[in-house]
Amino acid sequence: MIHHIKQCPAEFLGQPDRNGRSGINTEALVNDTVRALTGDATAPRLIDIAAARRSLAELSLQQICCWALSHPFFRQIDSGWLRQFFCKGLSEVAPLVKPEQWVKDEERAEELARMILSACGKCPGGESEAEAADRFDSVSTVKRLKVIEETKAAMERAQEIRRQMAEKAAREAANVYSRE
Amino acid sequence: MKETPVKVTDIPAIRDRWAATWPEAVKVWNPYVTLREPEWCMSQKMAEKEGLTGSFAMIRLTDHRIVIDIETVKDYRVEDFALQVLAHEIGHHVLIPANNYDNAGLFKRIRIALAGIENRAPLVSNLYSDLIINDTLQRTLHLDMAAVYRHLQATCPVTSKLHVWYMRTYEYLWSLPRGSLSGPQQSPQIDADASLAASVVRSYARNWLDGAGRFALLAYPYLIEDNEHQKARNELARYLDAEKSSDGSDIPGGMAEIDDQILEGIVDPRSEAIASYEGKGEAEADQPDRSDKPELSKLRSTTGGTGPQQRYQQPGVYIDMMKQVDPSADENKLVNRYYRDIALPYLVPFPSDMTEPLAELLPEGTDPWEPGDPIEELDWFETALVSPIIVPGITTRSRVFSVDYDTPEKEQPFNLYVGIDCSGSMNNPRINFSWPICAGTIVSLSALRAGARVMSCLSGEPGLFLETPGFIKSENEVLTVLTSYLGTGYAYGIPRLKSPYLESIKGKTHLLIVSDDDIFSMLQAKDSDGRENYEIAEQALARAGGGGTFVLHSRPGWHKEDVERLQKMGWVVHYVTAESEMLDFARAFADRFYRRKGKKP
Amino acid sequence: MKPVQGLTDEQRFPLLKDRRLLEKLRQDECGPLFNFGSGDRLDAAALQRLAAYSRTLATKEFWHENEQPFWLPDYLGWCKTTVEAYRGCSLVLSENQTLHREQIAERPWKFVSTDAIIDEMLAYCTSGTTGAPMDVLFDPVSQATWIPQLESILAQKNIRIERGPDKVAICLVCHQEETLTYASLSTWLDGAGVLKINLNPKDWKKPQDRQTYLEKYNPEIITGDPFTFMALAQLNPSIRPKAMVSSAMTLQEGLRQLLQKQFGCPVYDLYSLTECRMIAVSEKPGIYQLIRPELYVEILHPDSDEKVLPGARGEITVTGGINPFLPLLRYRTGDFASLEFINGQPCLIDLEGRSPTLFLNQERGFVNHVDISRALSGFSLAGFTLHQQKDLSLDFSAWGTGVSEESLRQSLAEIFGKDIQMQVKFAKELLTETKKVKYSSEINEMDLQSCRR
Repeated sequence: MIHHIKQCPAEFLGQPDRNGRSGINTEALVNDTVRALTGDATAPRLIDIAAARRSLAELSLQQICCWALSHPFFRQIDSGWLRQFFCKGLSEVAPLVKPEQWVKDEERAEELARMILSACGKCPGGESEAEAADRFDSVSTVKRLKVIEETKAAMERAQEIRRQMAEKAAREAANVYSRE
Repeated sequence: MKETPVKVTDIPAIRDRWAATWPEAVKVWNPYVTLREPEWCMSQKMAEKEGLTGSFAMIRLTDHRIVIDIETVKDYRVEDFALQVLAHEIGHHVLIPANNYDNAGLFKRIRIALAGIENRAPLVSNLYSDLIINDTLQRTLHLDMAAVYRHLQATCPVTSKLHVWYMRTYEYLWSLPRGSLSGPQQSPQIDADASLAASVVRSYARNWLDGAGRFALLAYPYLIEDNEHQKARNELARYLDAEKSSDGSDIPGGMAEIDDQILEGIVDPRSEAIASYEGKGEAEADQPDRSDKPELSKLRSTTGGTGPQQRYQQPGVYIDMMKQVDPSADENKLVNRYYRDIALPYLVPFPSDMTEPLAELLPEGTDPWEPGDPIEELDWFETALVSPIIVPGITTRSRVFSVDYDTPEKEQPFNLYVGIDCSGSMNNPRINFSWPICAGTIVSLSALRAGARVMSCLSGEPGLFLETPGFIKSENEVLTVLTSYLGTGYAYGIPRLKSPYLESIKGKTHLLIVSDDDIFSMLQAKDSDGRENYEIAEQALARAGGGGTFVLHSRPGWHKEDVERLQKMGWVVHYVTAESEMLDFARAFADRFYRRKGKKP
Repeated sequence: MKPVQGLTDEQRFPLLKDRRLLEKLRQDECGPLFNFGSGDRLDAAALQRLAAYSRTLATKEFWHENEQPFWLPDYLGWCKTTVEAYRGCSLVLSENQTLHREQIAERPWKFVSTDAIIDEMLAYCTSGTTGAPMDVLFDPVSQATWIPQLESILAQKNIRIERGPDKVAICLVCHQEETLTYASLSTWLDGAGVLKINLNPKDWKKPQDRQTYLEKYNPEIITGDPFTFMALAQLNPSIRPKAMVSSAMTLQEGLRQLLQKQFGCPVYDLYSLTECRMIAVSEKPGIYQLIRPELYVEILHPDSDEKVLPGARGEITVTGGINPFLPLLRYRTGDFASLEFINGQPCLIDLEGRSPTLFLNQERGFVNHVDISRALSGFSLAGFTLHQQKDLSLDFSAWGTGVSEESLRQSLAEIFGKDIQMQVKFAKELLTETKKVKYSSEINEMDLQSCRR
């Protein structure tokens, strides 16, 4: 699956078209994918993704997901989860990652694979549910950045003080007037 | 993995098996790598003699060796991992740090990132190198390194936060289950930092020097407390195989300088992670990355840039760093190297256009040539004699010339006497960068290059003085005097000009004295016979025959009468109002007296 | 970490343009071989803060018996919001756990208020007889308060320190193998001189320069520890200080009277700690008057964080101070006394815990433990204990990694003499959580009577 994601063709990484100018029509792509997976090739528009209200990063990620979902595995399973996934599943994480990272970076590809599998309620082969949850947790960009933001300020101040403690200017200290 | 314990008598058997595996380990990297077989130590005692303690293996860049302690191999039960362990050690030689020069560069970057806790640099450098090597072996060269770590970690306590984070990084890199190497003490922060570390290792595997500062900043919070550092060291001791790899090596050149490229690599990946999405979601492709990099000027000020263009570390910091790279390095040589490195760009060119007049420039022998030395000093012929494969800093040689002085018909450059005030008002040049000493280095080295003899003298009087034994040609001795420190008295002691060496020296000599206003009190001082020091100055100048210059840190116009008195004797008085002007003076002086274009000064 | 010189005189004295006295003190023919530079680093804003602090000392409004100081609630609130280590503290003082030295030593940065300006930070490494070396962080103002504090003490006897660049105001005299020495100035005293000197003849060009230099500049205030004062009395320079201030260990009454007679001035015994500087001062045996209304003192049980009954002995515990880099909240000093109010003034009675640990070298010369810790700091020891027996033999136990026992022996032999008996036990490090350093000795002051140095 990760391997499959990393094979993503350049077309899926194209600039999404939000304002009817040039670029890829993300909504059409998403609906093509859904049609393919539901097996109903003639169905009318199944998902209204409201492209105008979404960030470019999210639309890009949706396109990449369309590629990921072309993996044969998804044809064998139920497709009821797709609407929820495309409408709500990606908006939080999408702005945090540069789109090309999803297919270039090993760990982001894994995150995406786990994100999709978790959305459709499956576990990667050989993993228990708890294991899968933990592995997803450990590659989650949302979680990682939250942790970093929470700890960064205190950490930087501590480092700044530590640095200053070693500075010559601090070490020369100031006049001592009596023994302690 | 075999479960049957190996008996003590099996040590030679293990050695044989490991020796037999050696060619295969070399092949993992490249069959053409030429490395001598490791030194096999059959006991911990023998290993200790080689400087190997705590771990079962170590590398030495100095003589390109690997040392393996078979007894400890047996203690840690890694006898079945010969291929992995040997390939790992070879990785230190062929990939990272590979040579003394890059090893020092690695330390330099890590130390800047670890500001305030620089003493952790050897540990961090070793861990970073190991990650780069192991990940290359595991994922690119498909050697099962994870098995070694699983084996070793099974018997190792993992309580220090650094240790947990470091092992968790391997778990990220190789998709291993949580805790399989990093033990039970997990936290979301460690997860976040390990994920970033894995990303650094993947991104900078080739340009590993650029990733070193980032890795070190990730490690910083885990090492900020002394106790945590100590604990981490103890727990990781078995892995530390490259901390002292440059022990006993020659001093690589160019290490005092900190250029912008280095500072650009001192970035906290946490900041990069946050910066990469701030203001994101919209038209990200059009926006260049902002705020990824801290301001260079700010970094430069925290690294304490000093000297010309403020591009250099303070000498105290430099010495501390180089002693970390090579614990047996000699402090005198280091401080000499420091001022020499800074002086190099300002030296007069080597006398290359004098083949004819300088038939008496006799080759004397060779010295090692190191990266950072002027390229024109490199002697390709001698270098080729050492080895057909050129390894900068190791096989490269430069030729040392001596000048035959017994040819009176040829005009010789003036000898140089450099006297520098080293009284209480001067900084210690081993701790803080000193402009007078930098200037003294430039003129002395220029003079030596031009074939002159130099005598240097530090003086802080009343009190102490230190001088070379006469006029000499040894760069090292001249510099060792200049870079010493006295800190006594108030000025350069004029009675030093009565030195018998000044009387007996052949040829003409130029006298150069660097001091400040207080020199006038010194000149007015009288000896026991009631004679002023002015007389000594006058007589010395007349005898030297090559002129004399006072460089005074003062303002033109001060001590007018005294200056006139000196000028009447023939002394030139040059003022510098800011110490940094000493550099301009030194360049001009060296150029005037020691640049040879067929003309004499 | 060893202190280093890193400043120019402009940075050391931003407000003092006339530094001629400084040059004179440094370059004097009979001056010591100064090995360091130092200033008070007070700029205009800092000087104003210092002046404001000095005014609060003039009125000296202490808390009353059985009451807490009026400023305490605000102070606790400020600690809670600006100091990471106090984030979870209670606004009721007695509900807070007490604080031990080791807690600060491990991570001093956690005790820095966010109000502190990091660029103003100074660091000082202290080593005690009972604890491992510790970095104390502070700023120029909290350091310089020493002078107004002393002035407020001297004012009770109508003694005034002269101002202006003609005199040496304060001279800290040391007597040890090696210490930092410098000539400096005081911005608070309008450029008056400040000296730190070492009586060790090694630090001087000629031994007799010690008298000459002291006599020439005749400092108004002499400070030092009792051992140094003993040595100074023997040296007997003819100087006329306005006051002498002893600190670091208890000043015995006999020595006080000797000094008062010989130098003709009052002699104070100061109780102070590096962590908060001055606490109390004594002019007569056994009674130490508190000096600072902004430093609240409680007397607690040694084993629980409860106050002892009024008037009972317990551990001196302090809260407050004016150092934004180390605001203290129930900090245990490790010293013991009882607290009594005399004429409304809080006083520490029967202060103890500062009796010195005495070491002698093989010639029965006094060895300052500071010299021992300085020599041992060169080794990366995780901890050590040193004990000297009555017969002068040493028991030394140390643990750490990468240390050669032989060089440890050598270091000790350099201090105590090469023929001193010693037992050295050395262990590779056990994973101890905190560094441990302990000096102890069976030598007492009686043994010292017979020794000279």
